[in-house]
Amino acid sequence: MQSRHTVQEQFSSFLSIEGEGPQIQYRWITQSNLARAVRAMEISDPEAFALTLLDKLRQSSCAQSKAHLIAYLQEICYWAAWSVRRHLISQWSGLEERECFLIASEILAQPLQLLKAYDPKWGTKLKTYAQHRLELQLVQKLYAIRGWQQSTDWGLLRRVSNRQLKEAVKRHQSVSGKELAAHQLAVNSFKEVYAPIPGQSSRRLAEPTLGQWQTMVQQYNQSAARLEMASVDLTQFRALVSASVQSIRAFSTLPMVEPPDNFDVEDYRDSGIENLIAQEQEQQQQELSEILNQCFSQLPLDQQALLLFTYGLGIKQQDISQVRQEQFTGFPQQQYQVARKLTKCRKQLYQVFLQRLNPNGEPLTEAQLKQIKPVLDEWLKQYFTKEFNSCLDSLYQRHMQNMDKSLKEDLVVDLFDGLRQYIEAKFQVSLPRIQIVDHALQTIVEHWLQNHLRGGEQ
Amino acid sequence: MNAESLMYPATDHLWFDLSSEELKLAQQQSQRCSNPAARWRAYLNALALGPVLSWLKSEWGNDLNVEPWLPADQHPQIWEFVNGTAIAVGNRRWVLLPQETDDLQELVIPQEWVDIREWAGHYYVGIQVNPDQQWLQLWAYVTYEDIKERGDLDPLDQTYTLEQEDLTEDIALLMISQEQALSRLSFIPAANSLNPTQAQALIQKLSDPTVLNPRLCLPFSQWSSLISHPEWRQQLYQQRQPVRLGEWLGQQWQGIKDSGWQKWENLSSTLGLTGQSGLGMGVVLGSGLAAVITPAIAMRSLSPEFSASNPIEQYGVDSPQVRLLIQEWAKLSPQSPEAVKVIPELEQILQIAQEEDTRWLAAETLWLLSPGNQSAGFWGMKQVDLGIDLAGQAIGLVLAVLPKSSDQVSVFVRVYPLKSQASLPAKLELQILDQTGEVFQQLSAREQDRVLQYKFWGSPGEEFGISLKLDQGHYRENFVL
Repeated sequence: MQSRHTVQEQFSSFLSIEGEGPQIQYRWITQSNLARAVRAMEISDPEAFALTLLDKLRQSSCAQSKAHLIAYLQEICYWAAWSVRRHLISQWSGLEERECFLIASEILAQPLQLLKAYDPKWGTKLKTYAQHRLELQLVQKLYAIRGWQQSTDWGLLRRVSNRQLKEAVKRHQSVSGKELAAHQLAVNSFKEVYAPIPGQSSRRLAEPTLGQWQTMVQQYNQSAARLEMASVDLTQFRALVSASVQSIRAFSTLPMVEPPDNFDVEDYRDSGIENLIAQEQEQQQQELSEILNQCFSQLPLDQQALLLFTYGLGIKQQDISQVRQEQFTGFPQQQYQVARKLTKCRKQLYQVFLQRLNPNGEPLTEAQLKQIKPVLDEWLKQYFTKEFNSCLDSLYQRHMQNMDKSLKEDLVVDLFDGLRQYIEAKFQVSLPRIQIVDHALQTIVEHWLQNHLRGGEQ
Repeated sequence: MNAESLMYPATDHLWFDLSSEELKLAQQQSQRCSNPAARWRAYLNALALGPVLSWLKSEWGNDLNVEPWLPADQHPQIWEFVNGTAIAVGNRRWVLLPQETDDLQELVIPQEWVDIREWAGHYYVGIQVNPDQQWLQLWAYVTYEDIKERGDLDPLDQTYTLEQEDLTEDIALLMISQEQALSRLSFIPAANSLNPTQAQALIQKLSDPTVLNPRLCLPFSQWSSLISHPEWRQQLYQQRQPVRLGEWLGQQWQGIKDSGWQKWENLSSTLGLTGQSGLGMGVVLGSGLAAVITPAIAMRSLSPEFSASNPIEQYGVDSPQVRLLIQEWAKLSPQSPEAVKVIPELEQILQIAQEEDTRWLAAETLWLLSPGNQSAGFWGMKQVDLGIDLAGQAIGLVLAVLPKSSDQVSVFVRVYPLKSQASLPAKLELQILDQTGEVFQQLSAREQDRVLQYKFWGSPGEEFGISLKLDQGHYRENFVL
């Protein structure tokens, strides 16, 4: 996938992926009206402009700002999909890149939801934040879809949130207001009457009996009377339930994500203030990053190693235990033990960070606590990437300088071995030569190569 | 798919594996609720509570008091009605909210946990529970203040909902917030109050097991006053529970009176009735009444043919002759020397007889001659209030349980007028319902019918309901074997 370079492209084109596997094709589709609008503006700092768009969008809905913003986040949408798929593919064969990208695009299609908690005040980059959220939501959505696909129609109703149900019904039945509430009430009544037996699977729920259906109708009508809604008979009730099931089924198939329609555009003027804000943010982010770098180095070595394995190498908790046991036989074997250790580790890092930010011990507030989360998330994501990228950059240069002595084919091997040695020295860990670690290193090298050799920006 | 593959990239959630023992334990705990949805709710809550408690204790157990708000035996009183479990963590309160959805789009908080003074928590923790794959994850939290600020109250099911974007998905932050006591629970709503008479009327109304979701049947102000009052809550909970016939058989019938049931002898003596004065099995099964016993599909007639009486050895224990003999024994006076003599005989018949008819006949006769005799199973009785004046006729319901085999229990149901020589009101309907609420047997009284009775069997843990209907009057009770 070739990244876009001009500002005009960045705010007016959308990535389209066709085909699968070796036949996969990436295409940038430019939306001419958007392109025209961007041409008319002077955008010196894309990130600052993106923040303006988000601000505007938060104040009032504006299709154009939304489209520009979605366009701007196309690469991160691709990378979120790429990296989620890369991590899941080993146990999820058949998971396609295009599928991941389409679902990610569907999530991105509601940028206000995705970026709801984003606050640039702490210098977190919009793109980094968006990608982190996208990856998180994409993986959750993929698992939810998979879970629903494995459920019977009756199990499905118990395994879908109200919010998701309403969204699905709204979209696929084109209803709202009381009609939508009727679907929701039907599903609630269904669940109040019909539940799995503890110890048995809720996914595999069989169809309710006639008696149960009748009880559901009674239940529905009791609530309907309270809520001043119309009562239903058995046939109507079953229709509501079955429409709900169909909507969720339709909702969990591959989405069709179209680039935004053509529409009239208006000119935006770049006031210059955004650039100033962006510069301040940049500076603040660097300062915070520096503080976090120091906090990290204050952590005990085993905690540093755990963060490296988790966030740097992207190794899963179950596997971390295997990797670490190669070195420390006493390392916890159970995945939940690793999970606890990691939570503790994050907590420790937060605490050191909070201390540094607030050396006088001023009382902290819950709101402040929430604000530092994206800062830490971004730092965890960037810190290792930066370290690895600069290592790979210099390895690459060294390799090119010695080109006459070594063959070009050795590049990957060189990068792979060099990165391993670098990590071992820098973080004082030994990386056992096992598949899990090799796979993690390969992923990093591959990602770097894709960006470096194809001129990508990540 | 397993827990581990879900780990990426949500490293800020906290994961737990669930062992098969934990599943089994939760399954047992869930049995203390009255209907399938409540039992499933109890199951998820019980699953979530154990691992979270042990984690909290390992984190803070040395410094802080970590314990559930209510003693374990009272948890079903909450889960019967509402999702969620409260834990005291030092001087802060956590409300654990298990959910079974595959997506994590929202956290749903029943209004009780927010707007009842004694229930409100500092932290509300979303827990995704997946018993199929044996894991759970603490995935997000909100504070009381967050809910009051950003939660939407959904009138459909009286819950506050917070969208995923409004939650903090980082358990490390929850730990810091807890340690620094950042949530202050500052907006305490006023509690409402009910007077005891109102409360009793509401309890009466909501104790009907067909009311599946009592919390939605009253305005929240009334409901919250009722449910936040420990004694009323317990009373309501108790009255909604199915009668546990297994406990009758285990002679643990201390609690029998709470459910309005009595050991049969008590009521018979209260009413001045004995086996000989018209209600004994012998009389009921005699030729004069055999015709009024409505036969049932799964039931073999309890009425034997008359013929000469003969000993067990000669005709076999399940022979009509032996049944006739037992009927004769039923006419004996309980204290008479003859009665004392036949008691061991009856006990022996119960041990060796295969036919249900013989066994029930022997069991009832034994119970009449030796009330409380364990070999006769257990015979309970209840005076049923159909809510109308039946021209001075009260209706009695006898329910007996008798072990059939190591994994089956026989049940006998009889409805009859308490006044001797009276007959049942015509059109009185007796229904036996299976655990899904479906009617599997229905009997109606005709003119001059003196009893309706039915017998069947099932496995321990199985549930059934008995319903009696006459015009507008209705009695319904659930039982578990």
